[in-house]
Amino acid sequence: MLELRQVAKSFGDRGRLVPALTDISLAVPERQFLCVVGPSGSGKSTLLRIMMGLMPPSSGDVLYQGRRLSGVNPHAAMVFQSFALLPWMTVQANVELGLQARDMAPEEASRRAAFYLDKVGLDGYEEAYPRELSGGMKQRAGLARALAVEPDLLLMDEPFAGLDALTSANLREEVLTLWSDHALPVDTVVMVTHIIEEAVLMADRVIVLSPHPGRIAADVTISLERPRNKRDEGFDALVDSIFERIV
Amino acid sequence: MRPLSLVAQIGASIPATAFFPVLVAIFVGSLGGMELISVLLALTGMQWYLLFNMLAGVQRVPDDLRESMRSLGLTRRQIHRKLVLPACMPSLVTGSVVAWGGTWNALILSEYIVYRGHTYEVLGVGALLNRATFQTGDRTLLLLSVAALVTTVVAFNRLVWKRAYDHVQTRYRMEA
Repeated sequence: MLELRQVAKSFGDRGRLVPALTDISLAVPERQFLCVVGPSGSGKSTLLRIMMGLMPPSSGDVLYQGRRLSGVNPHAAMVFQSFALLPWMTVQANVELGLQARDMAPEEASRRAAFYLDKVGLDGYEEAYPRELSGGMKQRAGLARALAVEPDLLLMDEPFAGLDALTSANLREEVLTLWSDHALPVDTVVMVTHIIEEAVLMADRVIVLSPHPGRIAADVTISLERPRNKRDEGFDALVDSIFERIV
Repeated sequence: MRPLSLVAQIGASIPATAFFPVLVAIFVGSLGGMELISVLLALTGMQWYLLFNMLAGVQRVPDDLRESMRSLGLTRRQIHRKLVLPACMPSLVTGSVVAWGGTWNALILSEYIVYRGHTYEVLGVGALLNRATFQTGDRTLLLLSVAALVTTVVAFNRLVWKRAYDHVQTRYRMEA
């Protein structure tokens, strides 16, 4: 459903062009859970923003459902490491933002927001402000905001990096549950992470980026049976083999 | 943003009071002329503080918030209304506090002038202070005028700016 052809991206830095990504060709089929791993400076977040249509590639093409992407992809939604909620709006209003942008009638937007807040376990927190929530709850709100626009493609930029171990383990499980729920719209996920265990635990496929500039160093299919556990046979071997390709 | 900030830097480098003689030459003697001069001078003095603070406020809007609004499909105008304007509120208030501080100063100058033998003044705390100094020379009246000015300024800070600042800091503060 999402295809990148020969994508490259450079940024200007004091008059010089510094390449961030080079020669990225990649096809993400429908219903795949793809993780992008790599050290800092490998352009993971840049790649995700190009997939979202937040920034154009310097060269190459991004195709979504066979069509060239120009501008933000309305069928995709994004979850941020920093949650990126507006502090002056309630959780409910934050979740409704994308619906208002789509000119949805207020009553329907309100109903839809409530539905997804309930899905992520934030039932009863509609009128709370983000500052009143814990990190895990903020990310739940961020997730509800993304799900509410009913995207086909969900992009996540290190969504669990700012959370403690227990919270992130819980949220990982819930994201997997939401993804495997066929009644919910999201069917393809691209998630950026720097934790290899997290990638092996969640993904169907792991793309390894090497830094300076970012390029695809490995493309690994994870065929471990779900639900997965870190003690599963072959888990450590997979993590080790990916780790070796990064260093 | 850059051309605007250049204009602001040049504009701000000219003290507002430098416009006073020009304004006087144009408006003095006409009905409401002194009031107009005072208001114009106050505005000239204030606008740069506000502009600088607002520019700084706009630049402090975090990138990921902008990106999140764009990814949700908000238009440029919607992003301004929902994100940029609220994010500037603290800058607007702190800018206003500084601007008003400078403006009290400008008002002492602008509310009272002797021009071609005539004395022009408005009903105001600045004019009161000037009259006490130049017309009566009465020390008690002078002290009372200063006290009136101080009371006005402090009351204004307490009743308006302190409240506005507290409100803005709790509601519009940026944090994750």
